[in-house]
Amino acid sequence: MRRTLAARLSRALVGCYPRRWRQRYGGELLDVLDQHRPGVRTVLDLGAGALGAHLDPAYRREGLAVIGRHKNGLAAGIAALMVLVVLAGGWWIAAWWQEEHGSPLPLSEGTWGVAFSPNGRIVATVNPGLELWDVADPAHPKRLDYSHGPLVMPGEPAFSPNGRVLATNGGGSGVLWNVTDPARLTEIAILPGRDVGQGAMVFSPDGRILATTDNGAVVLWSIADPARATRITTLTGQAGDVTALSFSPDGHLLASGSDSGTVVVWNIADPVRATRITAPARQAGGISAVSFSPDGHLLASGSDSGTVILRNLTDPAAPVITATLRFTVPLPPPQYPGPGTGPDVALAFSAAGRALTTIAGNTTVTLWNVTDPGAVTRITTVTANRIGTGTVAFSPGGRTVAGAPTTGDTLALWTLP
Amino acid sequence: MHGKFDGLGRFADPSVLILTSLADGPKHGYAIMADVAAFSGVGMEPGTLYGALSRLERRGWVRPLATDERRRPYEITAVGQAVLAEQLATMQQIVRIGRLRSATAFGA
Repeated sequence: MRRTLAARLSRALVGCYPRRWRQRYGGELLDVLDQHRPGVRTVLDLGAGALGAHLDPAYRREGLAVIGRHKNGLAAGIAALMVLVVLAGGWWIAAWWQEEHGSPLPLSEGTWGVAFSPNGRIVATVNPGLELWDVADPAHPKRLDYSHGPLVMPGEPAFSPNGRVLATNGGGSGVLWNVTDPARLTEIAILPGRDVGQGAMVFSPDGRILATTDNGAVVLWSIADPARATRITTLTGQAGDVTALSFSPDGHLLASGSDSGTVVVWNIADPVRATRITAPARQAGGISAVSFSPDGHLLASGSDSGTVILRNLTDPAAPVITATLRFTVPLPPPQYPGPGTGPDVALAFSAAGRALTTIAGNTTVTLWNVTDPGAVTRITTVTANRIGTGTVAFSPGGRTVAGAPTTGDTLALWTLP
Repeated sequence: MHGKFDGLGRFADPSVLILTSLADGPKHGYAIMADVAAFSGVGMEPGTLYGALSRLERRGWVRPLATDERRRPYEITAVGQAVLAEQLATMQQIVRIGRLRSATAFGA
């Protein structure tokens, strides 16, 4: 998908809205821009919109709210207006600077994406800025670094298997960050093109391929040299928008789940000539998570309708459904919808692959014994007050979950049963 | 414009269009734009749409529906319906008077 200059400018302008506004509406606005054919009018309109949102008392910082309170008073003369315009212009520039360099938003406002580093010591969060947390001491997570450029937008981040590279969705383009020193985020490269969707991003187990989503397609990137990433191929033909991705442990298979309940398994042993192996039956609801078991024989797909389907993929061409696990997905809290407050299903296999943990609606945690995939039993169900505001991530091995707290500004970590 | 629309500023007109579009059922952002273009011929841009939507939402005239789809539908609230009815009544009055007066001026 080629984007025009107007489309690129439009997307860049979404980054100029106030952060709180962007956190609530940014994803939707980007999505509308994806469907719209932007022109000069779109760009001017977005510029005015961003300025208006910055001047809107609801998104304005406290200190300046006083201007809003007096706007209906006697000072509403032309002179005051002119002063306002000058102040607003100056403030807008200051706010923009603040966006780029200011302190991060409290994490309790919710997360759009969370990811653990492969060694389990670093957690990346997107809300909508990118933040890195040191979780070596789970009782005291420390914020290491953050970046608030318009380059970070909704979407799940992903760490490379060696933990040195982090991939995020930068307002429609994939962005690769050097996180070798997690206290100093540096940008390595922006993937060419602006067609990275808000679905998942995953690295292949050998770290040479990055898979991203583009609406109904999956894009494979060669990132053997992250600074010179190139597009290998685009896998098309899946119904619905791709939302979840998982590589098999040997890196030969890629599973993709869509918001219309389809799960497709691709053979990417030779990524240039990737082929679609199978498209098993449609699952009710939208797929929120797919995961291969550590031995690569099982594929679990979790749907927001409250089912997990386990498939035996020993012969990938003939997947066999071994179990359908059912649970209730609690309704989201009736609060103002923020990032990822919809009913979501997350899942993870234990390191040995004998247990599967599901989290539904950020409240119901269920541990399943999948030692015998044909006779799965429920080990325990815990109903938590609330695990995370927005999306959550499992640590490698699935014992710990990281997410945004309901209050406060520190990363919350839960240890599962 | 009517008193109830105070504070919507340049979003007053788009707001009537959005409320009208939502009157027959919830729609997501792009569906609203397409619908408004279809029934009124007004090409609303995304910045205007979301500027107006955020104000309507804050006033409680529209409500976002919980969804985990990327496209979040919005629905009109009971208050929003009342405000829309009031707006349309005002507009109808303007249309009626306008027709009457222009007929008197040029029709005779």
